[in-house]
Amino acid sequence: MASPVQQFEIEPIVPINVGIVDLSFTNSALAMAFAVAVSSAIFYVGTRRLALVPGRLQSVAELFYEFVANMVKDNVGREGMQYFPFIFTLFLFVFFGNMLGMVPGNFTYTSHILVTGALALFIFGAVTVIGFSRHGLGYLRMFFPKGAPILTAPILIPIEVISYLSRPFSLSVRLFANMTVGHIMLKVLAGFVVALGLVAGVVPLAAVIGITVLEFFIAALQAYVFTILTCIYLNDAIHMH
Amino acid sequence: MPQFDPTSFTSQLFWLIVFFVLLYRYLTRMVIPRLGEVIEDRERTVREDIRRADEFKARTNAAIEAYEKALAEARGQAQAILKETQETVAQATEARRREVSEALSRRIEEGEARIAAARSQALEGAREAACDVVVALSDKLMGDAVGSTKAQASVDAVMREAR
Repeated sequence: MASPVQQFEIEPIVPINVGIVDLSFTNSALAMAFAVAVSSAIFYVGTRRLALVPGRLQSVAELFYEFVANMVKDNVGREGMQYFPFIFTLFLFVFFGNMLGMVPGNFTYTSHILVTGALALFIFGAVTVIGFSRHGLGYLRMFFPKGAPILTAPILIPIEVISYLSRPFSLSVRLFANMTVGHIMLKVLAGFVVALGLVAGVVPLAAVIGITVLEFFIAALQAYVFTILTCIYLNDAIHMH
Repeated sequence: MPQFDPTSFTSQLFWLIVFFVLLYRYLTRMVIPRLGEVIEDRERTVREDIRRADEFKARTNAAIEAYEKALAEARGQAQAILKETQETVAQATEARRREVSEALSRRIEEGEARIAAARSQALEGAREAACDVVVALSDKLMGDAVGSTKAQASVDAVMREAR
C-alpha cells in the first residue's frame, strides 16, 4: 500500500532549470493551470453573451461575482471594492484549488504550505502596507486600542503584536492543514477498503463516501474562510478597530 | 511529508505567481468590468422600474383622490338641489294650501251668510204665517179678529220661548 502522503509528492513533468533555480513544471503547476482554466472557462462561457436576464452560466458567473462582492462590501465597505479584483481572484484560486483537488488523481495545490503560506504572507504584507499608507504611524494604534488603561500597555501591546504577526501563520496553516488532513484521511480509509476485502470493506467504504461529502463541504468552507479573513484583515487596515 | 521538502519550493512559488497573475489579469480585464456592468445595469433597471412604478402609483392615487373629490362635490350639489327643490315644493304647497283654505273659508262664510239669511227669511215667513194664522183663527173661532199688532207680539213671545 502506498503511503498516504504520497499523493502530496511533487513530481516534475517538464523539468526547467534556470541556473541553479528549479522552476520545473510539476503536477502542482498542472493542477494550478487546470484550476485557472476551469474558472476562466466558466467566466468565459458565462460572460460571452451578457443579458439583462441572465442565462444559466451567466447566473453561475454572477453568483461567484456577487458572493465575493457582497463579502467585500459587508466586511470592508465601499472603500474595500478597490481591492475586489484581488480578493475575487484569491477566492476563485483557492476555491477551485480545493474543489478540483477532490477529483481523484488530481493534485491539491492548496494542501501545500508553500502555496498557502505565500498567499497569506502576500496578504499580510499588503494589508500592513495599506494600513501604514492610510494611517501613517497611527496604524501602530492597532497594537494599543484607544480607551485602554495605560497600565495595561506592557501586557496588551505584546499580545496585540503577537496576534498581528501570527495572522499569516494561522491563515496559511488553517487551509493547508484542512486540505492535507482531509486527503490523508480519505487515502487511509480507502486503503482499509482494499485491506478488509469485499465484505468487511463496506464499512470503511461507507465512511469514505461520508467523508468525501464532508471534504467537498470543507473545500468550499475553507475557501470562504480564507477569503473572509482576508477581508477582515483588510477592514482592520482601512478602518482600524 | 512532501510539504516540508524545500526543493520544490521555488518551482511551486514560481508557478503560483504565474497562474495567480494570469487568473487575476484575465478577471480584471475581461470578466469584472463586463460582469460588474451587467449587474449594475440590472440594478439600475430595477431601480428605474421601481421608481416608475412608484410614479404610476402616485398618479393613480391622485386620480382616485380627484375622483373622490368630484364624487363628493357632485353628491353635495345633488343634496343642495334636492334641498332647494324640497323647499320650493314646500313653499308652493304651502301657498296653494293657504289659497285653497282661504277660498274654502270664504265659501263657508258665504254659505253661512246664506244660511243665516235663509233662516232669518224662513223665520220671518213663519212669523208672518203664524200671525196670519193667529188672526184668521181668532176671527173664525171667536168671530172677533185679534189685532195684527197684538198677534205679532204674542207670536214673538212664543218664538223667543221656543228658541
